[in-house]
Amino acid sequence: MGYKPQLYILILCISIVFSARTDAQQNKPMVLQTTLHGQTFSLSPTTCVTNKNDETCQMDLHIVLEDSSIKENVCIFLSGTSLGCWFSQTMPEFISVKLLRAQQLVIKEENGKTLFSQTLFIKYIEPIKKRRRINNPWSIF
Amino acid sequence: MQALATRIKYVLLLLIVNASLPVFACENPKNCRDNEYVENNSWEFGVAIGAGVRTNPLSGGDDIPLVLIPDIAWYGDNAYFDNGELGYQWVQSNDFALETFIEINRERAFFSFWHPENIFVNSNFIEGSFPASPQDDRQNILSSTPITVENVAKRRWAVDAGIRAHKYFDHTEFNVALFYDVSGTYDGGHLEANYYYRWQIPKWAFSVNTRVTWKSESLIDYYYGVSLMDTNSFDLLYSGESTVNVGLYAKASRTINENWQWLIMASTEWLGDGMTDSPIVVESEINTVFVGLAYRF
Repeated sequence: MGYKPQLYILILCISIVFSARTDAQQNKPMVLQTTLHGQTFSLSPTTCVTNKNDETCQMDLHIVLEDSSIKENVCIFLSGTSLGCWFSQTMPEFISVKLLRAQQLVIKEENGKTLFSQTLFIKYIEPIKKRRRINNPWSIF
Repeated sequence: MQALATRIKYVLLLLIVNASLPVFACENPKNCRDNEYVENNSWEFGVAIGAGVRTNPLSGGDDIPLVLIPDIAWYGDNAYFDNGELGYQWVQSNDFALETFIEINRERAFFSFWHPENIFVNSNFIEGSFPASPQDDRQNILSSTPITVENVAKRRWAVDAGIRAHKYFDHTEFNVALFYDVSGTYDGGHLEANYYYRWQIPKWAFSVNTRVTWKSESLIDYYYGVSLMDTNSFDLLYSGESTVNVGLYAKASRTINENWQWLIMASTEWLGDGMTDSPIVVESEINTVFVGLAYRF
């Protein structure tokens, strides 16, 4: 019967670890840093905040290619639309983007090789207004 | 009296079953595809494709096949359109709502459903013809027996204006609605009282309700009364009386993905004596069943 306290402590520890992992998954980082193909990228912010649903959200993205040894130009695409191409050393520090919904930002070399990909999210300050329907859906009679 | 007792038993059974059902709230209404909430200022379009039928209680009346069922709604801040009902909500709070509205009265749908005028619902109403050619109609009618929807004088579509009050609880709703003919067709009204119970389990949404409807004497007389305009047999003459119908309605939907869902609906409406005493009415209940796939755009 002596094992019971240890068992409780073990369960408690596992619970704490799992709850911490869940919390970490729920909060998206405001600054994203990742290493791909030997290059380190940092991107911030990853979430754009606007007032109302259906309103375009504009933000300045801070993109940094650290310790870059990329020889080719890099191009930035937002949901497949090119935002421009630059030599990695001369890439502007801030790039303005407009979002209407969550969109994918992709950085590629000119030869098409994907270096980095990240979803940009949108959040609304005003919640979407909803109304209770007066009649049941599909009510025909 | 026995029929009324049976109806009351069904209603009590429904209430008992409801009270014993497990309750699962939809945590995120946006993700509950078939819930009763809609985004303001946006259209809800849906179409259900399947197989079903609504029985027709009238003599010679065609059952109404249910193959495609649309679901069309738009809700502004106060105004709304919901499956043929156009209205304005004066009060909307979490536990109470009040609105006024107009809609087409559906009583006429049982008369010659497959006739072209039933598709172009307003044609008779706009023309104001009752009957279109009285002399001709009467000649045709007088020479034909037994009485069916095919040989009675035309009934026109009517437009009702109404007022409805809702009282909401967690999973139940009571509402009472008063309708009055504003098209001068039957010069009467009807009153409805509904009790709804809605609940959800993962992927499934259920709704059951019972409805008690009172229909005025003038409504019954106009649609189900039999006069010399309809028959030459004095034995068949019938002067309509106000009546009370009781109905049970059930719906279940199962989410398949964001747009598709299974839809199952069934209902029974027991007709009151004021209707069943009419020689035009040969069935004492109206049954509806539908099973299909629904797509929401």
